[in-house]
Amino acid sequence: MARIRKVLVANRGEIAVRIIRTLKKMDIASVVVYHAVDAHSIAVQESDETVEIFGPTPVAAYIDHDALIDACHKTGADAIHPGFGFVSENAEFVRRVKTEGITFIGPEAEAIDLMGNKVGARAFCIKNNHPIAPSVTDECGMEQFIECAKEIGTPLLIKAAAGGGGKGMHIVRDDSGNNIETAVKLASTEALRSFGDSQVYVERYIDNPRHIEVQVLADHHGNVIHLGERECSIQRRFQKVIEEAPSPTIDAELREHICNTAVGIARSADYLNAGTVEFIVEPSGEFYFLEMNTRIQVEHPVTEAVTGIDIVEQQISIAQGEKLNHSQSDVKKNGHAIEVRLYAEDPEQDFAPSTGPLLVYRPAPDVRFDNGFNEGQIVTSAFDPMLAKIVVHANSREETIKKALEGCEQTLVMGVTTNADFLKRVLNHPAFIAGKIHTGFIDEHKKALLSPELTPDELQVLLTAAALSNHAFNDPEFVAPELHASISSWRN
Amino acid sequence: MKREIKLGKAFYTVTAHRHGENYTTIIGENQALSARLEHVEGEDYQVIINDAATPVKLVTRGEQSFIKAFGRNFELEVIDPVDRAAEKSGSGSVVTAPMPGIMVEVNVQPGQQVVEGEPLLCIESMKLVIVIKAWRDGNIGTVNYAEGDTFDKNAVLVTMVEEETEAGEHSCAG
Repeated sequence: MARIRKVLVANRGEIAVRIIRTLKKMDIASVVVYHAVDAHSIAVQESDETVEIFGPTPVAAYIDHDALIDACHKTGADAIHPGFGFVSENAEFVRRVKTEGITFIGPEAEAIDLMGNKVGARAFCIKNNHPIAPSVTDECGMEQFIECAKEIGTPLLIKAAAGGGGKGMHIVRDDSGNNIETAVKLASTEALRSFGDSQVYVERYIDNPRHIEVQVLADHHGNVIHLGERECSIQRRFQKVIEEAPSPTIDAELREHICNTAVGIARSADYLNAGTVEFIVEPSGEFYFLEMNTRIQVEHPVTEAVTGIDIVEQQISIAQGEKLNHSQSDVKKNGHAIEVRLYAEDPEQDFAPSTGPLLVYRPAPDVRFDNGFNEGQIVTSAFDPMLAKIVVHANSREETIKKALEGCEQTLVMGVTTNADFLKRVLNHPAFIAGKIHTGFIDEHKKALLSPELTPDELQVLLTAAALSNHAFNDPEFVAPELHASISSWRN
Repeated sequence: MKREIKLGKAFYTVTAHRHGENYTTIIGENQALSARLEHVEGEDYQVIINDAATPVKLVTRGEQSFIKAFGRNFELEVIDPVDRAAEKSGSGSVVTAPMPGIMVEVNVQPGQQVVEGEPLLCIESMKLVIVIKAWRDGNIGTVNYAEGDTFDKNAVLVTMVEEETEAGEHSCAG
């Protein structure tokens, strides 16, 4: 396998920046593709070379296989790093890259195919004796499918076979009437639209489970190791919001069992490069395989913080055929790390995404701030609403939570609504501090996590500031016409 | 000068008259206050109300004010009284987009008769698929976006024709 000299980064935002920085460290040239909406992004500024890509929508540009391959040929890039999302888990693209003589920094197409279809991945786990939750697939026809689903019993979770990121997922708590059928149809429609595949399956929904995942690395020489687990139970709409390493909810014995199971799954799948095996852990400690993500994860920095291992660097080394430079016993873990995802969204409006210009955008000092935006850039609805990741590391979990709180407080974003205040309320919640977390945490503590009522004095300050900074109030010439003046009335 | 200011879901009436450096402000029907806004530097300001100062971070954009105070972030908007009047007299016959997104499916055409609960549109914004159903029996007025179109927050997606029995009540709403 040839040494990689120039890497095309087929992504955008913070992960593109993240990859470019490791390439610089390794003295490998970088090329980033970009759609016009990202022309002023940090990735474009920091990359050695750039290639503009086009498409009917910005997302379409980033998944245009031909354009990405052309960009490699044009710039002489000999490898592609896909980041996450976009083409990162597209087996067809991986095959195409290979036939073009370009190195794909990631697993083989076969592993992506296997893990990309959740039904197939579950069959694989059953065959290899890896633990999975009771489930049924829709291959047997709708009527029998619903029969079988009823046998598993509510609550049920309906998922897209090709899914990810919470799309196409529905919970059914009451199986009366045509509840299951309605949810299956909705999930199936969403699945077809999001993944081009309408297949869905149903599994037992575990109440108050924890989401724990294991980072694995596998080289071309038969070595597979894990870098420990990440606790990712704080989620909204099935999407992670806060992640940490190590998990505060498992003991050493369970940790070893879960991590070894993950290595076993990677081994039996002949997996190569970096991957993440996700598990659902019941309150009793029973755990089941959920899925394997065949790419780098958004939350990889918490693992990097506690192990001191640069996962992107490992991915590149593995892709150029090097042996892992760590054995399992070399991997030492140090302290505790927390990542919070700063989203442009309004937690008070059911986490609806918000858009607008980043009028003020200033990261907190003393945190790892994985970010792809510049002050002044506009947050559009074209992409996922994540702005940045605030990552902190300290000796104890308690200290880490404190640092994460400071990180949220000191990061200043004005111009779009963000979840920063909400993140602080989660980090400050006694149940979070006590490690009493599960994937339903945000729902369970919904009321406590709402923004507190303003005092009359606080309200006065805010309204005064808004009024006196508004141009209309400052215009001495302006006199409100009668009609306008008469409309206003006190409302609560 | 009198305006309504929106904070969260609530509207507040604020009156301000300038007297030299200070303003006399009245919030709702509360007592008049003596207030001023002092610029410190960058986005740092002091809000001084009856001689008590509170530090805030503040930036504005058009009618919007983004404020960080008491360790929290706020977004306030000074409402144009004309827009507000129109909103108040709104007949409830339109559906506006709760967030920016894309039109996934259009199930109805203008003029089509629908019954309450019938799915009209399916929209998607990032991770969310929302089916918009008829909120009453009636006829579709306009469908403003085609499948695949994108729209901004608050865009009018679909309208329903006013019901005849209510026509009298709403005759001035146009």
